[in-house]
Amino acid sequence: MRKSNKLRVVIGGLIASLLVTVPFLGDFAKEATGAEPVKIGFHASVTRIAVEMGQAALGAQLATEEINAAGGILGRPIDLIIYDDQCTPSLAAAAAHKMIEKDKVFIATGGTCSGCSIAAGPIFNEAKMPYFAAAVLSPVVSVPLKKYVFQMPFTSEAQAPVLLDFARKTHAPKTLAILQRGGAYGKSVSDAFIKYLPGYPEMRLLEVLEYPEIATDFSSHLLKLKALNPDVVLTAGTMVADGIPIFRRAEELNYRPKWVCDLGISDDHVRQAVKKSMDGIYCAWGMAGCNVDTTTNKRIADFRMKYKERFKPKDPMEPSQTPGWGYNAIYFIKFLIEKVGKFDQEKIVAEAERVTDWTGPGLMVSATFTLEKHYHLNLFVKHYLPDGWEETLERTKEGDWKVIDKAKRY
Amino acid sequence: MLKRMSTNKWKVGVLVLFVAFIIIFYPKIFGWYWAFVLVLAGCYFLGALGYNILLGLAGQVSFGQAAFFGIGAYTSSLLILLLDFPAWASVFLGGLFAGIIAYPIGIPALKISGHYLALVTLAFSEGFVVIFHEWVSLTEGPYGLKVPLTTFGPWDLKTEALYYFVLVIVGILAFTAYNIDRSCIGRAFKAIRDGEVAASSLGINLMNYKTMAFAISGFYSGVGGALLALATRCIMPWDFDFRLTIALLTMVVVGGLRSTIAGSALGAVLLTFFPEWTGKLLEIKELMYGLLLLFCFLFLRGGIVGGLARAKDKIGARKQLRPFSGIRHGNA
Amino acid sequence: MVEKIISSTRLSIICFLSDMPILFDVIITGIGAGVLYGLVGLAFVLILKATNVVNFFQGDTCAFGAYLTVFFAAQLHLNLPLAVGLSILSAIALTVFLEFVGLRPLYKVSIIQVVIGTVAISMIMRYLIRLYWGPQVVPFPDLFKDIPLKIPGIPLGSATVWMMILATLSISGFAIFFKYTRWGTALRACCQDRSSASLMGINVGAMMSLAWGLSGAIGSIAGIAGAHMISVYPEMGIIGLKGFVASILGGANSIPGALLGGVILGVLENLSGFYISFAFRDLIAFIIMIFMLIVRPSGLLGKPVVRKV
Repeated sequence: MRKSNKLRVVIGGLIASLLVTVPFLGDFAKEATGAEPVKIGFHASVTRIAVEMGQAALGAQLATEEINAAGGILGRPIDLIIYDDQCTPSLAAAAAHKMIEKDKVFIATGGTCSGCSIAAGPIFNEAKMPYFAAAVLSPVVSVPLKKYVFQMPFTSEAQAPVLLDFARKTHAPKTLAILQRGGAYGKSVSDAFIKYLPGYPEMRLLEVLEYPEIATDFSSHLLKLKALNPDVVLTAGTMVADGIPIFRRAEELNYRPKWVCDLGISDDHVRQAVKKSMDGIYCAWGMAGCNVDTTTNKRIADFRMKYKERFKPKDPMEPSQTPGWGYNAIYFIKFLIEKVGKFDQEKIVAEAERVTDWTGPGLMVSATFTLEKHYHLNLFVKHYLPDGWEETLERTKEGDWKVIDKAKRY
Repeated sequence: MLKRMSTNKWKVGVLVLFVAFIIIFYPKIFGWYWAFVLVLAGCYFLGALGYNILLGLAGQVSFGQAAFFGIGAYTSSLLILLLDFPAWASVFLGGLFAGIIAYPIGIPALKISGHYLALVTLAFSEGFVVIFHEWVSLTEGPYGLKVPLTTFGPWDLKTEALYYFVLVIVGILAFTAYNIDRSCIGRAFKAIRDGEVAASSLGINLMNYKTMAFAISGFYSGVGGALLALATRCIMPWDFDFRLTIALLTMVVVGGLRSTIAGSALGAVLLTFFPEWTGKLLEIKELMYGLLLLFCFLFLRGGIVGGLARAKDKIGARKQLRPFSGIRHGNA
Repeated sequence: MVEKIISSTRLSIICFLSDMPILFDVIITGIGAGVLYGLVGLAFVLILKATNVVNFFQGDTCAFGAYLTVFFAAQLHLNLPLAVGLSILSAIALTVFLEFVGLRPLYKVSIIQVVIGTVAISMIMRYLIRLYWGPQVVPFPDLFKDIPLKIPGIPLGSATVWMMILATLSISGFAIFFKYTRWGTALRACCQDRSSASLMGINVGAMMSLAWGLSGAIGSIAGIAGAHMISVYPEMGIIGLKGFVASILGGANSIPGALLGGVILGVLENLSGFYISFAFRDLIAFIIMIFMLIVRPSGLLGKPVVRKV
């Protein structure tokens, strides 16, 4: 045989043996336990797009291991089954079907891309399976009201008035523009801004500029913004991978508007990458800072330590916000089941309806269920200051914002 | 020799009956979840079939298949949602509309070919994704279109009823494709694929047949998309982007470009089921998929069907080379 | 939807008429982005010309170049020029290896089949990148910190300006290479007619590897330059799609065409986004491209392939 043919056969043999053996590797990882495990399904965007959101699955894994080490839920260990939906709604729908029919999970949770939860929600609702969407903010997930679908984080509709308030308080703008990322989450934030804008009659929306989910160049958007010259630019749906080029380009184009940003940009990766460009910006934030020893922050510092110990991430900036949301979701399910006292899906759903303020070991100070009940207490705002300092602000019950943390990040 | 021929026919007959039995009783044997996966495979099979007709039969390089899939999905879903059409009519009309939209693509295909046609069709396809995304009043844009549960006769189209509904439609369309393949339309396509200039000098009207190829291909993909919408009940604009085209392309090539029905079917089934078989390790799925493709690429020239054919030839040849077995199973 | 288009067109026409310097900025930044697409397209065209293969893992080669630079610079702490040089060399090694092992045997058999091979390699590369560096965005060292090159009045970052210089150098380099060196002439011969070239004594296999190696080099350079424009994350291979569009638009058998196609794509995107609508930016750009191809079916600078009967 010619040399290249021999090589081909060797490689082919290697591939074939991998194909045959690897699928079974996962099965050996399970050990037999005493009581029958309770299955919880968790779908997340583990690969491909929005993978920083998919890290919620890791948080869920950490929570599962902790709970199982402490005896499980009512004596039964959790069997956490993670599904990768690749931020693609059709795969999320397939995962939902799998959870219901193949693995027959007891409770479904997860959801890191709004579009996926929007697709999966009706499937769970129809199958009467409780579904707690862990990390999606678009209100469309739980609206129209579906009995079995709950949404845990604050929704985009919560972010919008908070950010508009902030904009009014700090910049008193007369004109606004929205930079919107394509996709369900971006649209939900943008729609929320538009919905709440009539409550701020002095502000006028000039334009909504969209960019696709995977975008390669923002110069025309920034130039248009420069031409329109709004007093404040709101971002809707921007994620880490877009945030860095946007700020870099803005710097190159000599354009420094007053940004007020939603959740996706307030990530250490962005801040580290663009440093000064973010000075002066206000962003929504879902997890408080961790250098001041308040009760909330100590919990977060603990979580970060546990996460680092368990997963040993190469990246020192991890964990970001999202693992906490997955961690939260599992602990919340434990809380619900223990409150009800038995494994009854209908009762659990009824109990979830009643919860209005849960301050479990998780990192969201309260939980949001359905549009009617959401409130804004767990939404923090980060204010980036020069020289790497940043402040975290929390809203008091009276409606003012007070600084709860100030730290130097770089 | 007559005896040998009839035993062969027996063997094939039994095999066909066995496969048919499995397919017909699939939901009962393997459960609803796997039947659902087979339904998805069926939808992709139709898409791959359309692609195969365009690429394998007619030789037109197109990267735009996903658009037709999407047009069929959105059209049929909207007909069900807004106008309350019955399921079978919506699916058919969805495919028809996709075919009508595909028809005019054949016209630039006269002047443009090869890589350039690939780009034109790609541009066309991505353009439709933008339309699906932006025409919010019609398609609900990024929030996705939710297809309500429809009925066919007295049955709700979910679980088993859905399976048989899809099975019947796939069966009819596959049979039609088989007939197209063997008809003069099919021969004209093959002639165009093998040599356009020669074909046209033989009197084959290139414009008619090229546009027809796109239209038929569009129809098949449209029906596939419409059925997918019925199965997953939620469609979003980026379900139909370039990645879907690549997925369909891999199904066609892995199955075998030269074999229309069997190739597309094998490719679609294998590549839809494969992620389900790769066990629990999530991150590995992409790697496994890639390895599978690589394996097929390295060893299966002409796809699975091509590989099987070559294997059969090799076995047949080896049998003939052995002198004594030549006497026992000799050619008369 | 129609009202959206009309209202934003009205607004933008006002902008257009009132602000000419902005038009200049829009076009220049479009050229800047376009040069990146053109560089990726250049790598595409090299392979397309030599082997007629559409390389679906081109974008991932670019990603690989960027990630390797991060590895050499940030993790092994080598100085930047050395890091860049090593990553380019590694990219060349990778593409040559892949070509020799996997792709070459099947050129003769079926071009479509090779597509599957490249798709497979793309998936595997993305997986490996994600396995080692994680799915998050990776910080990329600022290569041009010590050699800033900003032209006052032109809104381009120094990375982009350097990239444009690099692109021009590569085009001229390739022109010289193909016209005046032995290897270049041999490669050109292989592109035209492989069997005749081998009859002439040219080692066709080596030429194929050369073509792939060159594309690996250009790809990794594009990735490193592009890391300043788009972030470094496992899916950054999406730039390959733009490169494909750029290369075909410019003419699938024309090397300067790739760069021209990229620039036109970049400028078209920016103009249609700025003046018409951002939401429909891609759609408009694509429609215009389709018309361009209808007018010139073999791309802008491509030579029409004469099909002999």
